[in-house]
Amino acid sequence: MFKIAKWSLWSYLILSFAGFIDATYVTVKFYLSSPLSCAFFENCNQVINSSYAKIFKAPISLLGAIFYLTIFLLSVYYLDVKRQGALKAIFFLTAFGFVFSLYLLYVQAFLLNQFCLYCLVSALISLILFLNTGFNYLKIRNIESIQNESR
Amino acid sequence: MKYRFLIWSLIALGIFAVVLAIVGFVIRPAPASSGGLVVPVSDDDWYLGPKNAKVTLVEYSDFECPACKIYAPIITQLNKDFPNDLKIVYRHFPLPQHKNARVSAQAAEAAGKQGKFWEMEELIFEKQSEWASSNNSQENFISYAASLGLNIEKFKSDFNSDSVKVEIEKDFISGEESKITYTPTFFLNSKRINNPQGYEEFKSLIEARIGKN
Repeated sequence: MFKIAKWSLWSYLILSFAGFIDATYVTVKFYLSSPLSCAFFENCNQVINSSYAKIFKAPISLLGAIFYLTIFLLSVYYLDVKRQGALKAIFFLTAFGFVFSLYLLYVQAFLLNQFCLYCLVSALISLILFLNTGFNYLKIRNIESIQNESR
Repeated sequence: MKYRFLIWSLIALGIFAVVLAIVGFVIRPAPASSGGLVVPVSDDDWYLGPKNAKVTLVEYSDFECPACKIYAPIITQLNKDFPNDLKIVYRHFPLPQHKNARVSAQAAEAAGKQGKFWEMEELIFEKQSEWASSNNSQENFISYAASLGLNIEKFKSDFNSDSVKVEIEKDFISGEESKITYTPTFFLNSKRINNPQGYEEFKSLIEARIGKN
């Protein structure tokens, strides 16, 4: 049975919570019609309000907030019941999140030619989460294949 | 886990508290140090009422913002009720969240080039629901310009001119310098005020200022 390192699980919790705060802040700003204060990249509002920043009528930041909250809750769930399935689900989610972040980075760099710090922070968080969860996922797969061979 | 229910409840509460804290942080009132109008009123501003009135009300507004639409008839009424003592200044603060806010400001500025800024302002607010979500709002503004009897060719070229866009940007930057985070934001004799709840409250605020001067 795979046992995740404590620091690794804590990093899931802390990073997903940080991502949740980042995305929720942008979402709240969006719904309250209040412009973001742009640090480092002065046109961050144009990024957040571009046509790429919405899916149907919802801002992508809202989906981001739900995404990070799901990872956070799954991590707590794992902490509670120690089910490996939760770790696998987290890995698949973060893999999706990572690919989506790459797409959003591409949009910022090549289609809008503008960046927003909140988006970059989120991309960085999703990258670290992906590497971290991917590392654990590989270990789980390894253990599972050894168990299968020994049966 | 013995306290499972308690722990999950605490987590749910914690998340709720975080969201509330973020909302509270976003809508917090501006600090006292940012309570003043940074860029003073000048001849470049659009204004109603006497040039050297006792009291000057500056409004930073966005044509696409629903609250600004609600305040529009209140402002018109104030102009009627204080014809000698109140100068009302309109400055653009098109919020980036509103896709047609900037173009609507361009329409008002372009009408202003033909002396009909305030007439266009009134129309744009009145018909906000028509153009706000339109993908071709310029057509709406052209029809309003026609209904005001403006020269349409001139209106179209002014609408897209750099000078109009620069005027709007100047207003927007001046609003940012005054640390505006929402619209409408009002300044009474250069002091930022909390948005009055309704006409009567607005009126008594202005009366108090007139009495002071």
